[in-house]
Amino acid sequence: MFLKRFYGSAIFINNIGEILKKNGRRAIHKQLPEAVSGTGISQHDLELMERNASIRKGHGDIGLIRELQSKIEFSPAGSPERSALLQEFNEELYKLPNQTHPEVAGYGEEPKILQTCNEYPNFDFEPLAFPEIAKKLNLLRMEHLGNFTGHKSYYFMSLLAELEHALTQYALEEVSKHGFDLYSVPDILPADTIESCGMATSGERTQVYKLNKSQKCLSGTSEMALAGYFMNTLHNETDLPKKLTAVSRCFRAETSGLQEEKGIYRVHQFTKVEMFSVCTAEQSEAMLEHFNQIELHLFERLGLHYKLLDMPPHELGAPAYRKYDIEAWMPGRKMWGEISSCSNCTDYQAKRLNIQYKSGNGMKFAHTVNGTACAIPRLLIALLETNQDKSGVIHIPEVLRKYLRGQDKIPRRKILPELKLVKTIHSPL
Amino acid sequence: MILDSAAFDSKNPKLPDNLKTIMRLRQAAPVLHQARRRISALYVTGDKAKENYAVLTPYMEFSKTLIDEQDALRDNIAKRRLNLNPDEVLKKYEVYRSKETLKADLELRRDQIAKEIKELQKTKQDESILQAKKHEGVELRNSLKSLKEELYPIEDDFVHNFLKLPNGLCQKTPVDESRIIYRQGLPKSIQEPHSHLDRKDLIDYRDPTCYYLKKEAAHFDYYTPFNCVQRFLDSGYVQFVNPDFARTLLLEAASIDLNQIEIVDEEDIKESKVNLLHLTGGGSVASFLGFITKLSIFPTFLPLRFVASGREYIMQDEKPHRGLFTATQSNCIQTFIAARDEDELDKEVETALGLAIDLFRELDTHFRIVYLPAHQLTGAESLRASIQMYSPIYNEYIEVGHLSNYSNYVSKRLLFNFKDGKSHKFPYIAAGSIMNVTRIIACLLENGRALTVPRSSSEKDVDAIKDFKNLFA
Repeated sequence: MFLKRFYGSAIFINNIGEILKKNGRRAIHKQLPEAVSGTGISQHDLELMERNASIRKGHGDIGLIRELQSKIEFSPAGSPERSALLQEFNEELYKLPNQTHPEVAGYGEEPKILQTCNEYPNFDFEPLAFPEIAKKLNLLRMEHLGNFTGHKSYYFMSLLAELEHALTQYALEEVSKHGFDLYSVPDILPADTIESCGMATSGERTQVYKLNKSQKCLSGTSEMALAGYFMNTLHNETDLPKKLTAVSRCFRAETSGLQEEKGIYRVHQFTKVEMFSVCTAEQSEAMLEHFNQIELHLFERLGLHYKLLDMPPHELGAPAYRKYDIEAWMPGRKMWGEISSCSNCTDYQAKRLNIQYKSGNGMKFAHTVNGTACAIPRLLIALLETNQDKSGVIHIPEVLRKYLRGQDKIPRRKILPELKLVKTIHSPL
Repeated sequence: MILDSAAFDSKNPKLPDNLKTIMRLRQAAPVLHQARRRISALYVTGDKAKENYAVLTPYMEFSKTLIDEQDALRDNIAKRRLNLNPDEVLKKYEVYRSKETLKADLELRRDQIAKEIKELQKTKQDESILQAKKHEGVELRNSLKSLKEELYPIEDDFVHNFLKLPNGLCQKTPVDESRIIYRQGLPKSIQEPHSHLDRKDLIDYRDPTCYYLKKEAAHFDYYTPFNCVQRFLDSGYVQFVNPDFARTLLLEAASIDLNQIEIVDEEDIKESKVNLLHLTGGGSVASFLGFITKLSIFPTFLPLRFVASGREYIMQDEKPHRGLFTATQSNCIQTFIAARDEDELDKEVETALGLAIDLFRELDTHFRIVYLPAHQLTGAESLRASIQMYSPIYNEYIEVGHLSNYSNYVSKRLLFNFKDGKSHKFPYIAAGSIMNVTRIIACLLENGRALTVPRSSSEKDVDAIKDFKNLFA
């Protein structure tokens, strides 16, 4: 368990005491450690930040930070104007991206392919794309649901639904072998927990669903709930690393008009098995490799043809220091599609969530690492498209059969009604 | 139909008889509809259809419900202890029906006149007759228009009051008290009962929307749905993964209390001002309703047996909060059954409850199944089998699962139908979260029981083979 759950620390900016009294514990997230706050930033620091922000693209505004810094220097000490400027300055610092792994910083625009796995699947027929397979086997319904269950909502039916269960269990058993502790997590989170993980909850292009009554948000990934679990905690160095896993529903408000993202490729809700770790600064790089190895092993045994990518700086988002993506070949779509990723966020999330550990005589911010063991919709696309045969039957990989009561294929059978909707049925007067 | 408005002569006092009646009624009718009611998504009248897309019109049997089965309705309302006055609804119906009849007459007459004008124009007979007919046509069109305007609020008020009327009661539903239909064991007496929240090693409870389960509790929470769904599949159920959102229309159709369900903000909220998006969960009763809305099936597919596991989000208004018993988020196994008629549904429900009993027995603790009394049912339920476990700390039974009988009430509202000869029929439905895993965890902990997951299909098969071999040992 945690050494201590604590709600404030000397390492936060000077007036943390008053802020805490005024705003309660949530206020902490918006504050930054003194080292990067206030006017204590040197020209050299700013240049480093600028160089990093420029390769990360779209995160942080160094011009504004410089402008605010010079305004702060000329404002009278203790004036309300100065404190307002400091507040704005801190807000801008908060938006800056994490540092970038030195190897990755030199990649330019393209990811580096680190390895490919399993043979490219060859077919002596034209392989079907997922929507056609699902339609033929009556496994999916996406049509005419907007007015009933919302835009891009879907029903998985019969063996597609069973496959979802099987895949989560397969992934969960694998990660459990590596000492991950299973947690059940909340799907409804306060906005500041989500923001502390590096995701904006407001603005036009937010991916986060807001709930109207409670004003809380729907979690985009269980990484947020798991990171939030450790908020304001202090650990013994010897208790780290912590490795956790959760199976949860993920909610994404994003929409896409792209043809290739039609159907279940990009949806608003899906099931995911997530891995998460809180570790020391020295452990995080090895932890990222550990996560990556688990992912590779999982997809290799599913027989998917995939490639491992070390992502370039502008694809890291704000929180990641380094990120590996796995893209699987989808023979029906004739495209690579991202099915998994893992990121080392170093101390970016820990600073915002106040997760620390005792190290020697002092305290250090922990590092966090997250990764996808199994994200359902795209994994199903890759799996069904790869394992189809000429007759339209889908063969189920050996490793999944024990979770499917021994079933080894998805045959054509008529157990569910075809989609036929009635327009109206007149009532008697 | 287009009638020539230029032909209208306002000085001509000759009005058809039925039009005079309209005028009279209009003058006499009091302004009944000034108080604005929250607009329903289940029934949108024509005047509001511009702003709010009418997704469907429920199938409603006014005369049968309000007149033919009036006594049953009164009895039903009394047993449910509802604050509803069937006489008022009946009164509203009479006004509505008379106006609707009038509208139908006018429409008929308008169509006749249009035909006559066409004939007159063809034969090029007396111009004055043609003009008179045209004039009459314009009069009719205007009258029809104003009648429609007048009818909207009347229709709106009546239909929404009609839709508030509850489903008929099943004969098995008891009147005042719950009736026990199955019991396994007896409540264990515990000298110093502890709340499930005391198990901080297993449950980290922060507030009603935020809790974490750990170790055996997390294990039980994940594997119980997995294993139990498999057992349903063995019995001919088809597994689903359902959407977590449902629109207002579905919740209203199944009389789900909108106050307890969150609203999800949508970017393009204008599109559906009335038919909002709600967070219900893929393991909730609402989650299957999107699938069956407007669905037309061949009767050979009946009975349908569906099962899904997923979340259920209900904002419990009970205070003070009772930990996992009143948590917004829970993990559930949802079953959905559709049958051709009441008898078939009864048999299916019996089988489903039998399956539930098998699964609950494996938890090795006291539970019971009761039929809830009429006054505890929602408006759409005709019968509710409530599976309950005992909480020693609250000294009461907690519902840890249920299966509700909706007869064909929800099907009619959502136009879920099958063709029987030429006519549409509406399947009889039963649905419910047959296992609420989150609450089961809390009850097991409070009763000092281990969190032992019910067996999967294969584990059960292995045990059966062992038992069989033991017979010969």
